[in-house]
Amino acid sequence: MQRDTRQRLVLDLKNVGPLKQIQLEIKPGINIIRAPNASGKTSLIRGFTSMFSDQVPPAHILALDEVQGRVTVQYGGKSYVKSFRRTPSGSVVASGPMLPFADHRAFDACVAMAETGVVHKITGGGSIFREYLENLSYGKYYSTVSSVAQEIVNELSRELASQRFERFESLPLLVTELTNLYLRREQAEARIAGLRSSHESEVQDATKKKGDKKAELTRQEAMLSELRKELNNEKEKEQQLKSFLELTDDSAKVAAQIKNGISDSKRRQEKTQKELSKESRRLAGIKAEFEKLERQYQDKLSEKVKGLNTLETELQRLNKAIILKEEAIQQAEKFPEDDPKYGGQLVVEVRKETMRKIEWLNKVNEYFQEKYMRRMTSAKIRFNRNINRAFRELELKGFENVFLDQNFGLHVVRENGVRQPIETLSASEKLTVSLILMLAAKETFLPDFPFFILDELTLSYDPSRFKHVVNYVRQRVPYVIVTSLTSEGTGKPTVTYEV
Amino acid sequence: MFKTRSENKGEAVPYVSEVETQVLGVLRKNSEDKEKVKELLEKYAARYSAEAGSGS
Repeated sequence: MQRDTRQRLVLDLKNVGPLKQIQLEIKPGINIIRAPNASGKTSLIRGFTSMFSDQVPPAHILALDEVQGRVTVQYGGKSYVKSFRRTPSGSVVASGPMLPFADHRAFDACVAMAETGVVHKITGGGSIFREYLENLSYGKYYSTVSSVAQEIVNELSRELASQRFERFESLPLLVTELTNLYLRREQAEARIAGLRSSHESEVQDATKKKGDKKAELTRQEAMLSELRKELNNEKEKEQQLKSFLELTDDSAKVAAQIKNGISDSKRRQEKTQKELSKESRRLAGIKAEFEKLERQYQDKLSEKVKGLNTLETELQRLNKAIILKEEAIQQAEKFPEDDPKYGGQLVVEVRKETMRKIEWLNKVNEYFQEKYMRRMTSAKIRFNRNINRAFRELELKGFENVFLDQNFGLHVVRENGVRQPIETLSASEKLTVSLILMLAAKETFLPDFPFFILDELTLSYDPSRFKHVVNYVRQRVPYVIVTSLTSEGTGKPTVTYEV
Repeated sequence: MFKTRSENKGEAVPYVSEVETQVLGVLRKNSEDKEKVKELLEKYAARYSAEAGSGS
Protein backbone atom coordinates (compact mmCIF):
# COMPACT_ATOMS: atom_id res chain seq x y z
CA MET A 1 0.00 0.00 0.00
CA GLN A 2 1.38 3.40 -0.94
CA ARG A 3 2.12 5.71 1.95
CA ASP A 4 0.05 8.88 2.13
CA THR A 5 2.69 11.60 2.26
CA ARG A 6 0.16 14.16 3.33
CA GLN A 7 0.00 12.42 6.65
CA ARG A 8 3.71 13.03 7.31
CA LEU A 9 5.32 16.21 8.39
CA VAL A 10 9.07 16.67 8.34
CA LEU A 11 10.46 19.37 10.54
CA ASP A 12 13.94 20.65 9.75
CA LEU A 13 15.54 23.29 11.97
CA LYS A 14 18.84 25.12 11.64
CA ASN A 15 20.30 27.42 14.30
CA VAL A 16 17.19 27.36 16.44
CA GLY A 17 17.91 27.77 20.15
CA PRO A 18 20.77 25.39 21.03
CA LEU A 19 19.95 23.23 17.97
CA LYS A 20 22.50 23.63 15.17
CA GLN A 21 20.71 21.29 12.80
CA ILE A 22 17.98 18.72 13.36
CA GLN A 23 15.38 16.91 11.29
CA LEU A 24 12.37 15.19 12.82
CA GLU A 25 9.42 13.42 11.34
CA ILE A 26 6.04 14.08 12.89
CA LYS A 27 3.42 11.44 12.24
CA PRO A 28 -0.31 11.23 12.92
CA GLY A 29 -0.79 10.04 16.50
CA ILE A 30 1.28 10.80 19.55
CA ASN A 31 4.80 12.01 18.86
CA ILE A 32 6.97 11.98 21.95
CA ILE A 33 10.13 14.08 21.67
CA ARG A 34 12.62 13.10 24.30
CA ALA A 35 15.86 14.85 25.22
CA PRO A 36 17.88 15.80 28.30
CA ASN A 37 17.67 19.24 29.92
CA ALA A 38 18.82 22.28 27.86
CA SER A 39 19.04 20.22 24.68
CA GLY A 40 16.49 22.30 22.72
CA LYS A 41 13.07 20.68 23.20
CA THR A 42 11.26 23.97 23.90
CA SER A 43 13.27 25.73 21.16
CA LEU A 44 12.15 23.05 18.75
CA ILE A 45 8.51 23.64 19.72
CA ARG A 46 8.95 27.42 19.45
CA GLY A 47 10.51 26.99 16.01
CA PHE A 48 7.62 24.83 14.89
CA THR A 49 4.98 27.27 16.24
CA SER A 50 6.51 30.00 14.06
CA MET A 51 5.08 28.11 11.08
CA PHE A 52 1.47 28.66 12.17
CA SER A 53 1.55 31.56 14.63
CA ASP A 54 3.60 34.69 15.25
CA GLN A 55 3.12 34.69 19.01
CA VAL A 56 6.71 33.71 19.80
CA PRO A 57 9.08 36.60 19.00
CA PRO A 58 11.68 35.66 16.33
CA ALA A 59 14.43 36.65 18.81
CA HIS A 60 13.30 33.77 21.05
CA ILE A 61 13.76 31.30 18.21
CA LEU A 62 17.07 32.14 16.51
CA ALA A 63 20.19 30.84 18.26
CA LEU A 64 21.77 33.62 20.33
CA ASP A 65 25.20 33.23 18.70
CA GLU A 66 23.92 33.05 15.10
CA VAL A 67 22.89 35.70 12.58
CA GLN A 68 20.77 33.38 10.46
CA GLY A 69 18.54 30.41 11.06
CA ARG A 70 15.76 28.48 9.38
CA VAL A 71 12.73 26.35 10.03
CA THR A 72 11.58 24.12 7.18
CA VAL A 73 8.41 22.07 7.19
CA GLN A 74 7.55 19.55 4.52
CA TYR A 75 3.86 18.92 4.60
CA GLY A 76 1.30 17.77 2.05
CA GLY A 77 4.00 17.43 -0.61
CA LYS A 78 5.12 21.04 -0.21
CA SER A 79 8.02 22.67 1.51
CA TYR A 80 7.54 25.73 3.75
CA VAL A 81 10.66 27.68 4.76
CA LYS A 82 10.84 30.37 7.39
CA SER A 83 14.11 32.29 7.67
CA PHE A 84 15.37 34.19 10.69
CA ARG A 85 17.89 36.97 10.33
CA ARG A 86 19.63 39.11 12.92
CA THR A 87 19.84 42.75 11.82
CA PRO A 88 22.83 45.03 12.54
CA SER A 89 20.82 46.59 15.38
CA GLY A 90 20.52 43.18 17.04
CA SER A 91 16.82 42.57 16.43
CA VAL A 92 15.68 39.41 14.69
CA VAL A 93 13.30 39.40 11.74
CA ALA A 94 11.43 36.41 10.35
CA SER A 95 10.26 35.95 6.77
CA GLY A 96 8.59 33.18 4.85
CA PRO A 97 5.22 31.51 4.42
CA MET A 98 3.02 29.99 7.10
CA LEU A 99 1.55 26.50 6.93
CA PRO A 100 -1.89 26.38 5.22
CA PHE A 101 -3.76 25.89 8.51
CA ALA A 102 -1.88 28.71 10.25
CA ASP A 103 -3.87 30.67 12.80
CA HIS A 104 -2.23 32.86 15.43
CA ARG A 105 -4.86 31.75 17.98
CA ALA A 106 -3.53 28.20 17.79
CA PHE A 107 -0.66 29.15 20.08
CA ASP A 108 -3.15 29.94 22.87
CA ALA A 109 -5.42 26.97 22.26
CA CYS A 110 -3.11 24.20 21.03
CA VAL A 111 0.35 24.81 22.50
CA ALA A 112 0.52 23.95 26.21
CA MET A 113 3.73 25.31 27.70
CA ALA A 114 4.46 25.69 31.36
CA GLU A 115 5.66 29.28 31.04
CA THR A 116 2.88 30.71 28.86
CA GLY A 117 -0.87 30.81 28.26
CA VAL A 118 -3.51 28.86 30.08
CA VAL A 119 -1.12 26.48 31.88
CA HIS A 120 0.90 29.37 33.21
CA LYS A 121 -2.26 31.23 34.26
CA ILE A 122 -3.91 28.33 36.05
CA THR A 123 -0.78 27.05 37.73
CA GLY A 124 -0.34 30.61 38.95
CA GLY A 125 -3.87 30.54 40.41
CA GLY A 126 -5.44 32.78 37.76
CA SER A 127 -9.12 32.22 37.12
CA ILE A 128 -10.44 35.01 34.85
CA PHE A 129 -10.62 34.04 31.18
CA ARG A 130 -12.30 37.02 29.56
CA GLU A 131 -9.20 38.08 27.63
CA TYR A 132 -8.53 34.48 26.61
CA LEU A 133 -12.03 34.17 25.09
CA GLU A 134 -11.79 37.66 23.62
CA ASN A 135 -8.69 36.58 21.69
CA LEU A 136 -10.03 33.22 20.59
CA SER A 137 -13.52 34.39 19.59
CA TYR A 138 -12.24 37.58 17.93
CA GLY A 139 -14.38 39.41 20.49
CA LYS A 140 -11.26 41.45 21.14
CA TYR A 141 -11.51 42.89 17.63
CA TYR A 142 -15.03 44.12 18.38
CA SER A 143 -14.01 45.61 21.72
CA THR A 144 -10.98 47.20 20.03
CA VAL A 145 -13.16 48.85 17.36
CA SER A 146 -15.59 49.94 20.05
CA SER A 147 -12.84 51.46 22.18
CA VAL A 148 -11.22 53.17 19.18
CA ALA A 149 -14.62 54.67 18.22
CA GLN A 150 -15.05 55.88 21.81
CA GLU A 151 -11.51 57.29 21.77
CA ILE A 152 -12.29 59.30 18.61
CA VAL A 153 -15.58 60.51 20.14
CA ASN A 154 -13.63 61.65 23.21
CA GLU A 155 -11.06 63.43 21.05
CA LEU A 156 -13.75 65.18 19.00
CA SER A 157 -15.69 66.16 22.12
CA ARG A 158 -12.54 67.57 23.71
CA GLU A 159 -11.89 69.50 20.52
CA LEU A 160 -15.41 70.97 20.50
CA ALA A 161 -14.83 72.12 24.07
CA SER A 162 -11.38 73.47 23.27
CA GLN A 163 -10.27 77.10 22.84
CA ARG A 164 -10.46 76.74 19.05
CA PHE A 165 -14.25 76.54 19.32
CA GLU A 166 -14.57 78.93 22.27
CA ARG A 167 -15.03 81.95 20.03
CA PHE A 168 -17.97 80.21 18.40
CA GLU A 169 -19.65 79.97 21.79
CA SER A 170 -19.54 83.79 22.00
CA LEU A 171 -21.16 84.20 18.56
CA PRO A 172 -24.82 84.52 19.72
CA LEU A 173 -23.81 87.21 22.22
CA LEU A 174 -21.74 89.04 19.58
CA VAL A 175 -24.65 88.96 17.11
CA THR A 176 -27.03 90.33 19.76
CA GLU A 177 -24.54 93.07 20.59
CA LEU A 178 -24.12 93.92 16.91
CA THR A 179 -27.90 94.06 16.41
CA ASN A 180 -28.12 96.49 19.34
CA LEU A 181 -25.36 98.61 17.84
CA TYR A 182 -27.16 98.70 14.47
CA LEU A 183 -30.35 99.79 16.27
CA ARG A 184 -28.57 102.52 18.20
CA ARG A 185 -26.90 103.73 15.02
CA GLU A 186 -30.26 103.92 13.25
CA GLN A 187 -31.67 105.91 16.15
CA ALA A 188 -28.71 108.31 16.17
CA GLU A 189 -28.94 108.77 12.39
CA ALA A 190 -32.68 109.49 12.63
CA ARG A 191 -32.11 112.06 15.36
CA ILE A 192 -29.32 113.74 13.36
CA ALA A 193 -31.55 113.80 10.26
CA GLY A 194 -34.37 115.32 12.37
CA LEU A 195 -32.12 118.03 13.75
CA ARG A 196 -30.70 118.85 10.32
CA SER A 197 -34.14 118.95 8.75
CA SER A 198 -35.40 121.27 11.46
CA HIS A 199 -32.39 123.57 10.98
CA GLU A 200 -32.82 123.59 7.24
CA SER A 201 -36.45 124.62 7.52
CA GLU A 202 -35.41 127.42 9.88
CA VAL A 203 -32.84 128.58 7.31
CA GLN A 204 -35.46 128.38 4.57
CA ASP A 205 -37.82 130.38 6.71
CA ALA A 206 -35.16 133.05 7.31
CA THR A 207 -34.35 133.11 3.59
CA LYS A 208 -38.02 133.64 2.75
CA LYS A 209 -38.40 136.43 5.29
CA LYS A 210 -35.27 138.10 4.01
CA GLY A 211 -36.48 137.77 0.40
CA ASP A 212 -39.88 139.22 1.27
CA LYS A 213 -38.25 142.16 3.04
CA LYS A 214 -35.93 142.71 0.10
CA ALA A 215 -38.93 142.87 -2.25
CA GLU A 216 -40.63 145.37 0.10
CA LEU A 217 -37.46 147.45 0.17
CA THR A 218 -37.28 147.45 -3.63
CA ARG A 219 -40.92 148.54 -3.88
CA GLN A 220 -40.34 151.29 -1.33
CA GLU A 221 -37.28 152.57 -3.18
CA ALA A 222 -39.29 152.58 -6.43
CA MET A 223 -42.04 154.51 -4.72
CA LEU A 224 -39.57 157.09 -3.38
CA SER A 225 -38.06 157.41 -6.80
CA GLU A 226 -41.54 158.11 -8.24
CA LEU A 227 -42.19 160.72 -5.52
CA ARG A 228 -38.84 162.44 -6.21
CA LYS A 229 -39.63 162.43 -9.90
CA GLU A 230 -43.07 163.88 -9.17
CA LEU A 231 -41.51 166.57 -6.92
CA ASN A 232 -38.97 167.50 -9.59
CA ASN A 233 -41.72 167.68 -12.22
CA GLU A 234 -43.72 169.95 -9.95
CA LYS A 235 -40.64 172.12 -9.35
CA GLU A 236 -40.04 172.37 -13.10
CA LYS A 237 -43.72 173.19 -13.60
CA GLU A 238 -43.45 175.97 -10.94
CA GLN A 239 -40.37 177.38 -12.70
CA GLN A 240 -42.15 177.33 -16.03
CA LEU A 241 -45.17 179.07 -14.54
CA LYS A 242 -42.86 181.65 -12.94
CA SER A 243 -41.22 182.23 -16.32
CA PHE A 244 -44.65 182.67 -17.91
CA LEU A 245 -45.58 185.10 -15.15
CA GLU A 246 -42.61 187.36 -15.85
CA LEU A 247 -43.69 187.57 -19.44
CA THR A 248 -47.25 188.30 -18.55
CA ASP A 249 -48.84 191.62 -17.45
CA ASP A 250 -49.31 191.50 -13.80
CA SER A 251 -52.86 192.84 -14.07
CA ALA A 252 -53.93 190.50 -16.65
CA LYS A 253 -56.33 187.78 -15.88
CA VAL A 254 -53.85 185.21 -17.15
CA ALA A 255 -51.33 186.37 -14.56
CA ALA A 256 -53.79 185.64 -11.83
CA GLN A 257 -54.37 182.23 -13.24
CA ILE A 258 -50.60 181.60 -13.44
CA LYS A 259 -50.18 182.71 -9.82
CA ASN A 260 -52.90 180.28 -8.81
CA GLY A 261 -51.08 177.58 -10.76
CA ILE A 262 -47.83 178.43 -8.96
CA SER A 263 -49.59 178.26 -5.59
CA ASP A 264 -51.16 174.93 -6.51
CA SER A 265 -47.79 173.60 -7.60
CA LYS A 266 -46.19 174.72 -4.32
CA ARG A 267 -48.91 172.97 -2.33
CA ARG A 268 -48.47 169.85 -4.32
CA GLN A 269 -44.70 170.10 -3.82
CA GLU A 270 -45.14 170.48 -0.07
CA LYS A 271 -47.50 167.55 -0.03
CA THR A 272 -45.14 165.42 -2.13
CA GLN A 273 -42.24 166.57 0.03
CA LYS A 274 -44.11 165.50 3.14
CA GLU A 275 -45.00 162.23 1.53
CA LEU A 276 -41.40 161.80 0.45
CA SER A 277 -40.16 162.40 3.96
CA LYS A 278 -42.67 159.98 5.35
CA GLU A 279 -41.82 157.25 2.83
CA SER A 280 -38.10 157.89 3.27
CA ARG A 281 -38.51 157.22 6.99
CA ARG A 282 -40.45 154.11 6.13
CA LEU A 283 -37.68 153.02 3.73
CA ALA A 284 -35.15 153.46 6.49
CA GLY A 285 -37.31 151.26 8.71
CA ILE A 286 -37.59 148.60 6.01
CA LYS A 287 -33.81 148.75 5.42
CA ALA A 288 -33.18 148.29 9.10
CA GLU A 289 -35.56 145.35 9.20
CA PHE A 290 -33.92 143.85 6.12
CA GLU A 291 -30.48 144.20 7.62
CA LYS A 292 -31.73 142.59 10.77
CA LEU A 293 -33.19 139.69 8.79
CA GLU A 294 -29.94 139.38 6.81
CA ARG A 295 -28.00 139.11 10.05
CA GLN A 296 -30.49 136.57 11.36
CA TYR A 297 -30.12 134.58 8.12
CA GLN A 298 -26.32 134.67 8.30
CA ASP A 299 -26.48 133.67 11.94
CA LYS A 300 -28.81 130.77 11.14
CA LEU A 301 -26.54 129.67 8.32
CA SER A 302 -23.50 129.61 10.51
CA GLU A 303 -25.34 128.45 13.59
CA LYS A 304 -24.24 125.10 15.10
CA VAL A 305 -27.25 122.86 15.52
CA LYS A 306 -27.75 122.24 19.16
CA GLY A 307 -26.95 118.61 20.16
CA LEU A 308 -25.80 117.72 16.63
CA ASN A 309 -22.13 117.52 17.59
CA THR A 310 -22.82 115.18 20.45
CA LEU A 311 -24.94 113.00 18.21
CA GLU A 312 -22.34 112.97 15.43
CA THR A 313 -19.63 111.99 17.91
CA GLU A 314 -21.92 109.24 19.19
CA LEU A 315 -22.50 108.08 15.59
CA GLN A 316 -18.76 107.92 14.93
CA ARG A 317 -18.28 105.91 18.10
CA LEU A 318 -21.09 103.54 17.10
CA ASN A 319 -19.62 103.06 13.62
CA LYS A 320 -16.24 102.16 15.10
CA ALA A 321 -17.88 99.75 17.55
CA ILE A 322 -19.85 98.16 14.69
CA ILE A 323 -16.68 97.62 12.64
CA LEU A 324 -14.95 96.02 15.62
CA LYS A 325 -17.98 93.86 16.37
CA GLU A 326 -18.28 92.75 12.74
CA GLU A 327 -14.61 91.80 12.76
CA ALA A 328 -15.11 89.87 15.99
CA ILE A 329 -18.07 88.03 14.43
CA GLN A 330 -16.04 87.23 11.32
CA GLN A 331 -13.31 85.85 13.55
CA ALA A 332 -15.82 83.83 15.54
CA GLU A 333 -17.54 82.57 12.41
CA LYS A 334 -14.44 81.40 10.61
CA PHE A 335 -11.24 79.65 11.52
CA PRO A 336 -8.12 81.65 10.67
CA GLU A 337 -6.74 80.96 7.20
CA ASP A 338 -3.55 79.63 8.73
CA ASP A 339 -5.38 77.12 10.94
CA PRO A 340 -3.72 73.80 10.01
CA LYS A 341 -6.92 71.77 10.24
CA TYR A 342 -9.88 74.03 9.48
CA GLY A 343 -8.21 77.03 7.78
CA GLY A 344 -10.89 79.40 6.43
CA GLN A 345 -13.86 77.14 7.22
CA LEU A 346 -16.97 78.38 8.98
CA VAL A 347 -16.93 77.36 12.63
CA VAL A 348 -20.64 76.55 12.57
CA GLU A 349 -20.10 74.14 9.66
CA VAL A 350 -17.13 72.45 11.28
CA ARG A 351 -19.09 72.14 14.49
CA LYS A 352 -22.08 70.57 12.72
CA GLU A 353 -19.76 68.25 10.82
CA THR A 354 -18.06 67.17 14.04
CA MET A 355 -21.41 66.58 15.75
CA ARG A 356 -22.48 64.34 12.87
CA LYS A 357 -19.21 62.39 13.14
CA ILE A 358 -19.81 61.90 16.85
CA GLU A 359 -23.37 60.76 16.16
CA TRP A 360 -22.16 58.13 13.69
CA LEU A 361 -19.26 56.97 15.86
CA ASN A 362 -21.59 56.54 18.85
CA LYS A 363 -23.84 54.32 16.73
CA VAL A 364 -20.83 52.32 15.53
CA ASN A 365 -19.60 52.00 19.11
CA GLU A 366 -22.99 50.70 20.22
CA TYR A 367 -23.15 48.29 17.26
CA PHE A 368 -19.71 46.80 17.97
CA GLN A 369 -20.35 46.62 21.72
CA GLU A 370 -23.52 44.67 21.10
CA LYS A 371 -21.74 42.37 18.67
CA TYR A 372 -18.96 41.89 21.22
CA MET A 373 -21.47 40.90 23.90
CA ARG A 374 -23.27 38.49 21.57
CA ARG A 375 -20.02 36.96 20.38
CA MET A 376 -18.61 36.55 23.89
CA THR A 377 -21.83 35.10 25.26
CA SER A 378 -22.05 32.62 22.41
CA ALA A 379 -18.34 31.75 22.76
CA LYS A 380 -18.72 31.14 26.48
CA ILE A 381 -21.74 28.86 26.02
CA ARG A 382 -19.95 26.75 23.39
CA PHE A 383 -16.74 26.75 25.41
CA ASN A 384 -18.53 25.59 28.57
CA ARG A 385 -20.30 22.88 26.57
CA ASN A 386 -16.95 21.55 25.29
CA ILE A 387 -15.30 21.72 28.73
CA ASN A 388 -18.21 19.85 30.20
CA ARG A 389 -18.10 17.18 27.52
CA ALA A 390 -14.35 16.65 27.96
CA PHE A 391 -14.70 16.22 31.72
CA ARG A 392 -17.60 13.86 31.23
CA GLU A 393 -15.81 11.78 28.61
CA LEU A 394 -12.52 11.69 30.53
CA GLU A 395 -14.39 10.45 33.62
CA LEU A 396 -11.91 12.18 35.89
CA LYS A 397 -12.35 11.37 39.52
CA GLY A 398 -12.92 14.19 41.92
CA PHE A 399 -14.54 16.65 39.47
CA GLU A 400 -18.22 17.24 38.90
CA ASN A 401 -18.07 20.28 36.71
CA VAL A 402 -15.75 23.00 35.47
CA PHE A 403 -17.20 26.12 33.88
CA LEU A 404 -16.84 29.82 33.22
CA ASP A 405 -19.39 32.08 34.94
CA GLN A 406 -20.96 35.22 33.46
CA ASN A 407 -17.85 37.23 34.30
CA PHE A 408 -15.63 34.61 32.64
CA GLY A 409 -14.36 33.41 36.01
CA LEU A 410 -13.35 29.75 36.09
CA HIS A 411 -15.09 27.52 38.65
CA VAL A 412 -14.17 24.00 39.62
CA VAL A 413 -16.94 22.01 41.29
CA ARG A 414 -15.98 18.92 43.24
CA GLU A 415 -18.00 15.74 43.28
CA ASN A 416 -19.59 16.79 46.54
CA GLY A 417 -20.84 19.99 44.90
CA VAL A 418 -18.33 22.23 46.67
CA ARG A 419 -16.60 24.89 44.58
CA GLN A 420 -12.86 24.82 45.00
CA PRO A 421 -10.71 27.93 44.41
CA ILE A 422 -8.30 27.35 41.52
CA GLU A 423 -5.23 28.20 43.57
CA THR A 424 -6.01 25.41 46.03
CA LEU A 425 -5.99 22.65 43.37
CA SER A 426 -3.02 20.29 43.29
CA ALA A 427 -0.36 20.87 40.63
CA SER A 428 -1.57 17.83 38.75
CA GLU A 429 -5.20 18.97 38.89
CA LYS A 430 -4.25 22.43 37.69
CA LEU A 431 -2.54 20.88 34.68
CA THR A 432 -5.55 18.67 33.95
CA VAL A 433 -7.91 21.64 34.11
CA SER A 434 -5.52 23.66 31.91
CA LEU A 435 -5.30 20.98 29.23
CA ILE A 436 -9.05 20.43 29.18
CA LEU A 437 -9.66 24.15 28.89
CA MET A 438 -7.22 24.32 25.98
CA LEU A 439 -8.71 21.32 24.27
CA ALA A 440 -12.20 22.83 24.70
CA ALA A 441 -10.89 26.10 23.27
CA LYS A 442 -9.40 24.28 20.30
CA GLU A 443 -12.64 22.41 19.65
CA THR A 444 -14.71 25.57 20.05
CA PHE A 445 -12.62 27.97 18.00
CA LEU A 446 -10.13 25.95 15.94
CA PRO A 447 -11.86 22.64 15.26
CA ASP A 448 -9.80 21.96 12.11
CA PHE A 449 -6.37 22.80 13.50
CA PRO A 450 -4.48 19.47 13.33
CA PHE A 451 -1.91 19.83 16.15
CA PHE A 452 -1.91 19.79 19.92
CA ILE A 453 1.44 20.31 21.62
CA LEU A 454 2.36 19.64 25.25
CA ASP A 455 5.78 20.94 26.14
CA GLU A 456 7.43 19.45 29.21
CA LEU A 457 4.37 19.18 31.41
CA THR A 458 5.21 15.79 32.80
CA LEU A 459 7.42 16.90 35.66
CA SER A 460 4.64 17.67 38.10
CA TYR A 461 2.03 15.44 36.55
CA ASP A 462 0.61 12.16 37.72
CA PRO A 463 1.96 9.90 34.86
CA SER A 464 -1.16 7.76 34.55
CA ARG A 465 -3.50 10.78 34.45
CA PHE A 466 -1.19 12.48 31.95
CA LYS A 467 -1.31 9.44 29.69
CA HIS A 468 -5.08 9.27 30.07
CA VAL A 469 -5.45 12.92 29.07
CA VAL A 470 -2.99 12.68 26.17
CA ASN A 471 -4.79 9.62 24.80
CA TYR A 472 -8.05 11.51 25.00
CA VAL A 473 -6.47 14.41 23.11
CA ARG A 474 -5.20 11.97 20.52
CA GLN A 475 -8.76 10.80 19.85
CA ARG A 476 -9.74 14.33 18.94
CA VAL A 477 -6.60 15.78 17.27
CA PRO A 478 -4.64 14.19 14.37
CA TYR A 479 -1.15 15.14 15.60
CA VAL A 480 -0.18 15.28 19.27
CA ILE A 481 3.37 16.35 20.10
CA VAL A 482 4.65 15.78 23.62
CA THR A 483 8.12 16.75 24.79
CA SER A 484 9.56 14.88 27.69
CA LEU A 485 12.70 15.05 29.75
CA THR A 486 15.05 12.08 29.65
CA SER A 487 18.53 11.46 30.94
CA GLU A 488 19.21 8.90 28.22
CA GLY A 489 20.38 9.39 24.65
CA THR A 490 22.92 11.54 22.86
CA GLY A 491 21.57 14.91 23.92
CA LYS A 492 19.77 15.53 20.63
CA PRO A 493 15.97 15.31 20.70
CA THR A 494 14.59 12.09 19.31
CA VAL A 495 11.03 11.11 18.46
CA THR A 496 9.10 8.03 19.34
CA TYR A 497 5.63 7.43 18.04
CA GLU A 498 2.46 6.05 19.53
CA VAL A 499 -0.05 5.71 16.75
CA MET B 1 -36.80 35.92 7.94
CA PHE B 2 -36.54 37.09 11.51
CA LYS B 3 -33.74 39.55 12.01
CA THR B 4 -31.84 39.85 15.22
CA ARG B 5 -31.69 43.12 17.09
CA SER B 6 -28.09 43.59 16.13
CA GLU B 7 -28.74 43.02 12.45
CA ASN B 8 -31.57 45.53 12.54
CA LYS B 9 -29.29 47.98 14.29
CA GLY B 10 -26.62 47.33 11.67
CA GLU B 11 -29.04 48.42 8.97
CA ALA B 12 -29.64 51.63 10.90
CA VAL B 13 -25.94 52.51 11.00
CA PRO B 14 -24.76 53.61 7.55
CA TYR B 15 -21.70 51.80 6.14
CA VAL B 16 -21.34 49.63 9.25
CA SER B 17 -21.16 46.34 7.32
CA GLU B 18 -18.48 47.79 5.06
CA VAL B 19 -16.61 49.15 8.08
CA GLU B 20 -16.92 45.84 9.94
CA THR B 21 -15.38 43.90 7.04
CA GLN B 22 -12.52 46.34 6.71
CA VAL B 23 -11.61 46.80 10.39
CA LEU B 24 -11.78 43.08 11.10
CA GLY B 25 -9.51 42.53 8.10
CA VAL B 26 -7.03 45.02 9.54
CA LEU B 27 -7.12 43.47 13.02
CA ARG B 28 -6.75 39.94 11.67
CA LYS B 29 -3.53 41.04 10.00
CA ASN B 30 -2.32 42.88 13.09
CA SER B 31 -4.50 42.89 16.20
CA GLU B 32 -2.52 45.85 17.61
CA ASP B 33 -3.01 48.11 14.60
CA LYS B 34 -5.39 50.54 16.30
CA GLU B 35 -4.04 53.42 14.21
CA LYS B 36 -5.32 51.83 11.01
CA VAL B 37 -8.70 51.13 12.67
CA LYS B 38 -8.85 54.74 13.79
CA GLU B 39 -7.97 55.92 10.30
CA LEU B 40 -10.79 53.82 8.81
CA LEU B 41 -13.37 54.95 11.36
CA GLU B 42 -12.39 58.58 10.84
CA LYS B 43 -12.67 58.16 7.08
CA TYR B 44 -16.16 56.70 7.30
CA ALA B 45 -17.25 59.22 9.96
CA ALA B 46 -16.17 62.03 7.60
CA ARG B 47 -18.01 60.36 4.71
CA TYR B 48 -21.19 60.01 6.78
CA SER B 49 -20.91 63.60 7.96
CA ALA B 50 -20.41 64.94 4.43
CA GLU B 51 -23.32 62.95 2.99
CA ALA B 52 -25.66 63.67 5.89
CA GLY B 53 -24.68 67.36 5.68
CA SER B 54 -25.34 67.63 1.96
CA GLY B 55 -28.75 66.01 2.41
CA SER B 56 -29.87 68.30 5.20
